[in-house]
Amino acid sequence: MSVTRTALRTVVIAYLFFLVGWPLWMVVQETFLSGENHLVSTLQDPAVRSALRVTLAAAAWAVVLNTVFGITLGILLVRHDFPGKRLLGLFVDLPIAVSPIVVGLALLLAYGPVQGWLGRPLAELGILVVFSFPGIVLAVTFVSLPLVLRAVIPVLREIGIEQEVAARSLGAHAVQILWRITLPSIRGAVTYGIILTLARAVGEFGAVLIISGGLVGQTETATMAVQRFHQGFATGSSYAIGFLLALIGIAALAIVTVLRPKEHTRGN
Amino acid sequence: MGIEIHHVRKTFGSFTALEDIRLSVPSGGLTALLGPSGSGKTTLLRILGGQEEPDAGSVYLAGRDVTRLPAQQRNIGFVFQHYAAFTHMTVAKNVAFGLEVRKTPKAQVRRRVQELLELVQLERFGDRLPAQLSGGQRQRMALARALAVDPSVLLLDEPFGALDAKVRKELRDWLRQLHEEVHVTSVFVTHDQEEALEVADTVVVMNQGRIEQVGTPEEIYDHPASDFVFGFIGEVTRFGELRLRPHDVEVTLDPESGSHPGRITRLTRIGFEVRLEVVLDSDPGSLGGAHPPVNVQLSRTESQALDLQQWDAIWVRPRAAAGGREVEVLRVGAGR
Amino acid sequence: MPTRALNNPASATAGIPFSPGRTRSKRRPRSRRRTTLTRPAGLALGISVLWFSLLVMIPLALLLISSVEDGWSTFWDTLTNVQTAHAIRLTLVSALAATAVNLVMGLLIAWVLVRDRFPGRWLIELMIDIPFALPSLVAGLVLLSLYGPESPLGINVLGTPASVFLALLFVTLPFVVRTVQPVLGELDRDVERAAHSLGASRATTVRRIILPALTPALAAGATLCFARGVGEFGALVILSGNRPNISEGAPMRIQSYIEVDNTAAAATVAVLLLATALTATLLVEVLTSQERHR
Repeated sequence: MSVTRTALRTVVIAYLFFLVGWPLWMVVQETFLSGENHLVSTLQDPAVRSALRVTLAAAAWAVVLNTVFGITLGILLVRHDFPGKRLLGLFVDLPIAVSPIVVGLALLLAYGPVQGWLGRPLAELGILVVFSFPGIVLAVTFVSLPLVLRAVIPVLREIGIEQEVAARSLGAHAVQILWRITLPSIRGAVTYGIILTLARAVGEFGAVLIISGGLVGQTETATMAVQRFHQGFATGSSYAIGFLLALIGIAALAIVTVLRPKEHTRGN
Repeated sequence: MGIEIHHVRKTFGSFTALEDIRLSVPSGGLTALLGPSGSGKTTLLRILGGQEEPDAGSVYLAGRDVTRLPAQQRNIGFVFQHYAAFTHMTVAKNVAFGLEVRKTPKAQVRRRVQELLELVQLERFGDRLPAQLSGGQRQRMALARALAVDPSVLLLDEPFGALDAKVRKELRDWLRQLHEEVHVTSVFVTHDQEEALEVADTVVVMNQGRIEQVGTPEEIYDHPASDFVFGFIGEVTRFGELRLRPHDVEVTLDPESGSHPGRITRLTRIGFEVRLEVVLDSDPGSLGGAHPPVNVQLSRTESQALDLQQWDAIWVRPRAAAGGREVEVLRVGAGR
Repeated sequence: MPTRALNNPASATAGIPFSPGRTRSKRRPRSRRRTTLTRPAGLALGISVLWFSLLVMIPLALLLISSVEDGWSTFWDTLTNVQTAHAIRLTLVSALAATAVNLVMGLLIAWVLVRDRFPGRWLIELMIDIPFALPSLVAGLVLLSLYGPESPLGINVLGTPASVFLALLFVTLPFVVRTVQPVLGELDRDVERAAHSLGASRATTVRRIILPALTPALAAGATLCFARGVGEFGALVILSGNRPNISEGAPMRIQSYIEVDNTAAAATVAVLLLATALTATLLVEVLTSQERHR
């Protein structure tokens, strides 16, 4: 028994060490221990700063849009019945399963200024979506769409309607119930979803690559800057931004781990 | 040649679960391990089942030393409180499992499964999944599964614990009957004294890792070997220096020899039974301190014959044949 | 007892684009499609669906339309183009291989996480989730450092078909582990004890009792893993070197079609990936709802 146990443990640790641990350590080494400090010098590049700003701004938009959408649809899906509910619930999960490059292409087909079904009329009105900031927002919002919703739904199911019924019996009207009962009770889940959204939006590459046009200093995002430096053999800078993005991701992971509803661990 | 347990000890960290247990269970009997939680009864059963190894001592099943033998080789049947059904297998497959593992020929397996399903009255449910059965049916399936391998010993861990009161009662009677048919040496764990007294032919009362008393239900009830057993096996009330069962208190309207005056402060009727709470006018004993109210249990007929009402003044005394026990002075303050 | 807090029969059906009936009964029969929407809730649903359509449904629908715009033969020609067919095959084969490895390793990792206790276990927990947390482009960089031209191990996968497999292995690591782990944790240990008491060996117990119980979770994890693998882009950009007919995967092929403005061909390959994603989503839904009904 304990032989099997040791063997399993060893295999698992070795696998993860070679697949995740060691490569990750190499990146840290590359960024900090290769002599010059790339992180500081890279961050002084105005184009990099712009890219980070664009990335964070787009991620912030994605958070706002997806939080409103997620909470609204979450309440509708859990608390109400309507025709097409099951289908909607199914489709809403789709965006995270779709390849980012497919997302980029689909958005291009809809909002591209030349061939876009909606993009051309908008362009004629002087509104440019693709190849400008709104396009980036659409792309990162698309790929992180259901994350808040998915976090909220199980909690809404769990808390049930008892509290809401009780509040109503005490004379609260719908808006009061929403603000004072429903929203406070899903606060944790919403935060969890927001952090996931943020991490996903910051790290998005494929969809943004197609949509943003990648104008350095204007519509270039952080991930695109990583690729630009990488292709230009500026390995140090590329790793530095990559490391920064990794840090954001891992910080998000750490927060999420703390927030994650505790799995009840059984004894023995 | 049933079960022999020699000087078994088991500790978990600093907690002593079992302390020098010596027990001999006769072959073919139905034995209850009775005790409160933490008394060690489940640990003892798990040691018999090979799920736990004793720190010291040895265990013999049907004359064979199995102390260091893994569960797989003990040839036991084990029934769990929460059924432990194989959820993805049909009822018949569940029952067949032990035989299939033993590479029994297919035809023989089929015959035996049919036989067992009939025995536990589930012959029409062979093709169902456990999830489609009620709790009682699931537990009967678990029993058939355990019996399929012709175990030398059948071990049951709180077998009725997860069932509701009515099914529990039915299943108890049924287990009693089943045991009469199959006669396999059986040990079951319970914390319910009524269940132990009703089902078992031998009761082992355990407390704090030790065996307090072994005996037939009658012996345990009528001649409890310790204060603990007396208190655990049934309700207890105090009358002066005596501790006795509430139904061993006699109520009269007029003074008799040895009786004591008091007043009925509460009268509750539960079906055929009437329960009184009597506050005595003075302490019949000499223990000092406040005397708690005396609890009395009467039949409805007795109560009606005396026409008892709340706040009536009455006389109470221990019945002549009462199997009461002297109060140990130290324990009085603790109360029950 | 009122069934819904916001239920207001008087205004129940107004303002919703697709509500056929009128809500009178307080108890909703499961079979009948009824709505419990109030006017504000209906409005909120309308706006949500509109936004969802603008963002997701219309673009995806346009993708479908574009792919067959030039006729089915163009659709077919695109898929049978040597370079494209190779890219699709590479992506599918790599995703399948990564899924297979993940099924085995994911199960082992989940097992160790649930059943084993040792110092530093939290580090494993952390490493499992890192592929979730890293932008996939960065994942490519991370792998390149150990398995690229400057590999201290002397293993260089850059620009080889193996690079696709390796990239997918990394980005899909969490799926099987995270779907199997909770199910394994919830398994009743008494069931295994029961099997042992009936004479089943450890191996038999794993094969006949534990694996069947984990099958739905394993299948769901594998499906997620496969869907994610097929769509992976960022890590491939860095790691595969994008060499046509050698290490170019389907998502890269879409990108190169877009770069040469051949949107119809790009859409064709994209639809294939989309269909894979849709099938996977449906499968997972079916598998997990089965699990819930247990």
